[in-house]
Amino acid sequence: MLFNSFQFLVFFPAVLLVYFLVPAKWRYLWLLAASYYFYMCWNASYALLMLTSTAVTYLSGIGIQAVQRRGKSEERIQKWKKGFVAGSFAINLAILFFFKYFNFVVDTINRALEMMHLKILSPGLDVLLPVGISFYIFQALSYTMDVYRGSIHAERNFLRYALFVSFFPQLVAGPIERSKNLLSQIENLPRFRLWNFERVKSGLLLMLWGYFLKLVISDRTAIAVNAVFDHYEEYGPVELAVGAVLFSFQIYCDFNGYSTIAKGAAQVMGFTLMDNFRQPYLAQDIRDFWRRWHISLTSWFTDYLYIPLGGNRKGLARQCVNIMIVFLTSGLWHGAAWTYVFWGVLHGGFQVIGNLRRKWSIRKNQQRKSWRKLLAGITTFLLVTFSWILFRAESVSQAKGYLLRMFEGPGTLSFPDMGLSQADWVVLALAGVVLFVVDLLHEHGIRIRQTVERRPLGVRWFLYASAVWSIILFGIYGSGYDASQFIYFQF
Amino acid sequence: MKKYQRIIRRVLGVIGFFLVLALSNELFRFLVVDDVQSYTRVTMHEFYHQDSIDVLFLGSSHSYRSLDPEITDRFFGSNTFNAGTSSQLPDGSCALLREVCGRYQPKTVYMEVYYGVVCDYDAGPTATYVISDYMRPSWNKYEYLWESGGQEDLVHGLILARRNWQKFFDFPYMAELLQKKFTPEYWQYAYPSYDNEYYAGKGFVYNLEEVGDGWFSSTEPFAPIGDDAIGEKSRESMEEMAKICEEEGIQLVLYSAPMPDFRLNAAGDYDSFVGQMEAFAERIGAEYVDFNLCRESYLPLDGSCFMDDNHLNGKGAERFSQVFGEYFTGSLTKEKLFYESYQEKMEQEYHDEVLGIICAQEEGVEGSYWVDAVTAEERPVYYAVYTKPKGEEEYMLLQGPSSDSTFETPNGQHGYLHICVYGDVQGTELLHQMKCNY
Repeated sequence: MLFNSFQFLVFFPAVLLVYFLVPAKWRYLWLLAASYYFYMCWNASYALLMLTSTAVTYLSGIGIQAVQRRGKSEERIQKWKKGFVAGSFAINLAILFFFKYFNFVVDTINRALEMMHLKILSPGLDVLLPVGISFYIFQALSYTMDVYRGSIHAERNFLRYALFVSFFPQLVAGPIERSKNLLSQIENLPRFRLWNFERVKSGLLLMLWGYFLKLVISDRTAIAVNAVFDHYEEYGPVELAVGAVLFSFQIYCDFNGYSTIAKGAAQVMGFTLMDNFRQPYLAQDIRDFWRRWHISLTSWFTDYLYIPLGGNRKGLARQCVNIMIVFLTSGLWHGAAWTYVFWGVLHGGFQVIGNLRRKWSIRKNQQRKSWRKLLAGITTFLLVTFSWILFRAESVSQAKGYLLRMFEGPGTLSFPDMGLSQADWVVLALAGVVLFVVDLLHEHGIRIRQTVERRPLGVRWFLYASAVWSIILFGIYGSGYDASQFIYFQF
Repeated sequence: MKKYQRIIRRVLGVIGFFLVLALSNELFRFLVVDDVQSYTRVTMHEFYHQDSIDVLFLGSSHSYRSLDPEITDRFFGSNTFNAGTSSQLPDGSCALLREVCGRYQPKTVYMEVYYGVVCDYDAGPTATYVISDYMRPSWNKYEYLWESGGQEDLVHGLILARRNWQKFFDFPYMAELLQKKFTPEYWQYAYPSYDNEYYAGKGFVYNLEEVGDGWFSSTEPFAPIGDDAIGEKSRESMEEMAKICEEEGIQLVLYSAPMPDFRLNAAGDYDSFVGQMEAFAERIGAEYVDFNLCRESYLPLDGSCFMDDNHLNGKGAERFSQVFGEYFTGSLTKEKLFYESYQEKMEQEYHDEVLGIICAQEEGVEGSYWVDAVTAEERPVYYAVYTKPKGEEEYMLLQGPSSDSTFETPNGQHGYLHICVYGDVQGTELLHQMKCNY
């Protein structure tokens, strides 16, 4: 079930209605049932995978806690705890590997063997990638690590823990929540005031903004992006550059749209999810970009990979190596293809260069001038956009072809050939301005919703109605109004 | 007390918000949806403002172009209404039947079942919107939209401006549309008219065109009549209609309005369609009457009674409405009016005439055409095809017997074709001719 489907339009109000009516102590059970139904709408049998991951991480948490209480020697305790963590990681990563990476590895080995004129292995397995698998497995693993580190106590109620892993608003594309935040909210569910008009309204407005990003901007840019990437040989350098820039906005609005809807939906039900984006295209450098883009994943990698690897505590060289490991893993997390690997390596490389530049820069602590900030922002955006070409391409050879053609030389721009009508371009331009202004205001600490709240009633509701209409009238809906997928669902 | 005031204020706020959305929906519709010259807008307005509807006509353009309620009123001695709409499929007829049953107590419903619509013809969403756009809000309307086109039709049927969203950026279009809408004619539902036809009231459209020289022709091949001429969806809708009629005590009559014999002959075995319809009608407890089996002595319809190779024009409709009234009020008996079969009609009324010409492009082959002379019975014919590309003199493209019937137009050019069908190889006995552009 997708947030932008008719099904969800019926599902969400129905879930809310029961959620607000059932006794407080049963709420989490209702949400758990709703979350599993939400997931099973896509593929019922794959819910078993999620259940397995939930059970394994739940038991590892219980195990770690139990070992600590036994009062054995610290060394033995650590040994056992590590054993539970290793077991949890091994099983979860095995699931992830089997469904996501097995075919990629077999394919890679086959290619290598083929190049050496050796007999190839049997072809890969015909398995469907379970939607959102990387998200819920990472979320579940973070719980194991948090219990291991003693940041939280192991949850004893299995069903409550199962809701933490499967909470439907963020189940399939994040944000990857931490147990400290979400699990504690689930535990406190019977105690908090459920009905709060302002909170519900605010959550709905957030959802509205998410839908705007997805339906008006992302799905519209997708038309041009798909046209350009699928037939890049037929386009000139300018169009390819425009296609790449449009993809930057497509992926931002698609993923941010999803996260915003998730955050809004959770807020309506009284939950606070973490922010996943903070105006990433206003970043000053690549490091800054990753502090603003997919924050929940970046912080996951920082907490559970970068810091355990030594972070920046073991010298510059080791730090650079750690960065490369993190970004290589991040690339692979996104998808089992060489394009993602190269994309990760590229970002790692950008970060390493940035680190070295910062280290050796003589103006380290100087306040930057406005024009330098602007230049840095544009450069960062262009570097990110360049890397998105690898991310979007179906294969390395397509990415190569695209890039070669893009830098072939000057060309002409013919908008109609990119699959968008004149009216589409007008909508896109206007929506782009709205997005830019909103991001700029957020950057300066101005919260739009709070600002609107202070306006007179008529103005306020006029703005709400305009927002609703802009989505209904100018949104892009699939053929037969079937919902289009969110890009990050495939991860 | 304050707490309750706040709750009431918020509830009112939410209701107000949805009211604003509903009102703006109407405003947007007004701004971008062009229904100024829509027949159905006026038809449905009249439909909802009748004192009573005793006899209802349903169907596609074969209904609203064929039956004039002014004439049928006289025969039936009660109020008849033609609720035919463009490409109305049986599910649309069913929705309109439900609509009429909720407001009036009709005694008889005559539904036109032209073979081209009951075969589950894909009329596209416009055939649905042309009805739903002017239906009043009701469960029946939403059910119709959902069943005819699922989510898409429901959204487009409820939010009309969504279909035309691009027009929000076409300011000259909007300005012109508003100019047309801010006229007394629009608000008073004045009858729309075009150069060659006009709305004549109670759903009937009077057409003034005639088939030139009575010579029928077509640039499209006709869909053949198959062994399973009634599609599954049409069947279900008509069964549903029969059920409604039975519950409401309404007599349901299925009929086919007259079409040119050129078309029926070209489409294949018309008797097969008649047989299938009769059997189906009997099964659902309805009557089926096919006016294509009429004797010419009672219903003479030549080229001057048709607007094209498919529809009656105003003159033809007047004649047909007369006969329709006479037959259903008992002035004419079945035996007198109809032949036993379409085959018998052909044998009795035609000999070796050429009924019309089809000249169509070969599917998927640019510039390649085929020609076919439709005859009442097998006979030798000879073709001569001339072309006149733009800015050039006319010259001959093809000459020969009917076995040699394909030709190519000059590559990459536009012009017109002149096709002659002769009864002799010398080309002295001209049987039929047509002209068309390519």
